[in-house]
Amino acid sequence: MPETQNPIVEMRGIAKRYGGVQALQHVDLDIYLGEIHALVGDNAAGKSTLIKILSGAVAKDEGSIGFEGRPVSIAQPRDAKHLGIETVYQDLALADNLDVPANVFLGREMTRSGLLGFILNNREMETRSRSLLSRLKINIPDIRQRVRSMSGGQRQSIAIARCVCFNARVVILDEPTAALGVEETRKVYALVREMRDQGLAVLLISHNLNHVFENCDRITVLKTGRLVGSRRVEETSQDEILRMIVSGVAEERSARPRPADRASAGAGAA
Amino acid sequence: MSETSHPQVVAGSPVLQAFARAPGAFYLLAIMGIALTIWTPGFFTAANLTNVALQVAVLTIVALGMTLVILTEGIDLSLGPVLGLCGVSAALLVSQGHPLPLAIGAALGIGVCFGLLNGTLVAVAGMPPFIVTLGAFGIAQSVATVLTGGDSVTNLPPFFRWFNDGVFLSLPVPIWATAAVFGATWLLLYRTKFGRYVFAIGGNRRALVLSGTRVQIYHVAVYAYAGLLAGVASFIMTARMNAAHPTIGVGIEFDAIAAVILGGTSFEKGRGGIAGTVVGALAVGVLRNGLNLLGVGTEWQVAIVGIVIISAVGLDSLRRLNA
Repeated sequence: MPETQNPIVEMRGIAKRYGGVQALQHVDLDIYLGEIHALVGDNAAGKSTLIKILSGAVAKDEGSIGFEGRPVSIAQPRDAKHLGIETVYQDLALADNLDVPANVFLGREMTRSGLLGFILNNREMETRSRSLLSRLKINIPDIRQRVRSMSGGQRQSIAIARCVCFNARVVILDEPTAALGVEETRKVYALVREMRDQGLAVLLISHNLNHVFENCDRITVLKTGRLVGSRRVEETSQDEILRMIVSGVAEERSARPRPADRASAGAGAA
Repeated sequence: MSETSHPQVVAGSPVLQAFARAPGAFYLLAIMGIALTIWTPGFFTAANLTNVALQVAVLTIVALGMTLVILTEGIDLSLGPVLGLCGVSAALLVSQGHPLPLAIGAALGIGVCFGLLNGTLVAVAGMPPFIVTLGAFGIAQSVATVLTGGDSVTNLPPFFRWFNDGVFLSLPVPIWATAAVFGATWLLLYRTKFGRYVFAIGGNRRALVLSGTRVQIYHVAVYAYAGLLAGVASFIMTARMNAAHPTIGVGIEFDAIAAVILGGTSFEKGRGGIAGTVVGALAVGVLRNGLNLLGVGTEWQVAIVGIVIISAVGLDSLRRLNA
């Protein structure tokens, strides 16, 4: 069970200041494998800053990040990728003038072996893209088409799928369905649940509490750069989360039963 | 796929589709070829067509490099003067008795260095390509003029003419050189990481950066490759004139941009490719040859090429609006 395992990512005391604005102040966040973790909160709550720090796009001022129990330094996107932390940015993920395999393998192209090591192995990339898409149940009839001609949902699915391809452990999604219609949103969330079921940790930002409660396992609320609290979905209600978002105060029950967590985690590892 | 997206434009035959999607250069070339064959008896002769092919070799080689730069949403205005500088450098070295390999190395090296300079300022310092390469234009032209004192370098050893007059397997050397450059560029652009990143830089540079790729290295290499090809072309140009003149290259960048745009490569979003550029270069070459045959002076030819570029880009945007 998720409760008994150690978090794969432990962010502790994260702080970030932009000029005079304290974007994040002493925020803790735990992310578990096999869970979809939603970050919610008003505008300027610090959600984007927090995920950008984890993905290496923004440097933190204070705090520490642990990955699989070890302290790690994430100074740039390639550090995060090296750990298996992949990020899908809103509208920024794909090159429109390239086809699906080229986008899936962008930055990690496969090449032939031996003397022809500088030649791309397009056939292999195509085969792997096709099997990746079918494993994630994404339906794209002609993957040799340029992604420019594809729907928003298909493009978002490709962008998400390309993370899974590279031994990602943690996938970060910044409002994955912000620009999508109802049906496409449903498909993208089906894909996100599929990734969770295959054992990945998913961290996503969403403004839609219905989506969050339908699809996510854990919810963390931020307000004006501070951590309000974290709840497992089955232990809370939309009402409680809404009150936390608005008031910025967690109710009496401790947001983070840390001693108990630690104890059970130790027992699980033994 | 286009059968469903443009049912009203194309009946469905792949040949018709290919015609409907062909870049402007294709039509320009076909129309000019027919018109010139009818109007000017001298056009459709083996001698004249060979002449056109030889004239177009330099332009094609430069335009292939220019295509890669434009695919990255850049431009290289300096390629013409850089070609001139490469030419006078090689010519000065061989005319002073230095060995040919040294001259080749120097010319290609100068081309690459200008490319590295342009590329670094664009990709690393983030300056606009138009401004950077306009500056390099001035630098290359001045250095070439200073090196030669403004005169042509004429006392070339006879073997130098081989770069233009040589024949290998019954085809002239410039044709072989163009074919070799096209083959190498095709391989680079469509079969290597470098080529993939050329398209990705134009399509979505930020996505490539976020994928963890060292984009700047590849972006600089694009300009370096264009500079290298300007160096290659300078040997054919110099051999053709049997002399190197410091300003001979000026204007080639203009025709090269025309060839790239006529060939269907867009200034935005990394759309296009090098096959169209070859047709585009042929179209520009035939246009200039036809104007020569019709007795239109060089002073008007630049204006006409300019009008053709604007028309081609205009038609292209109209076509995209309707699509």
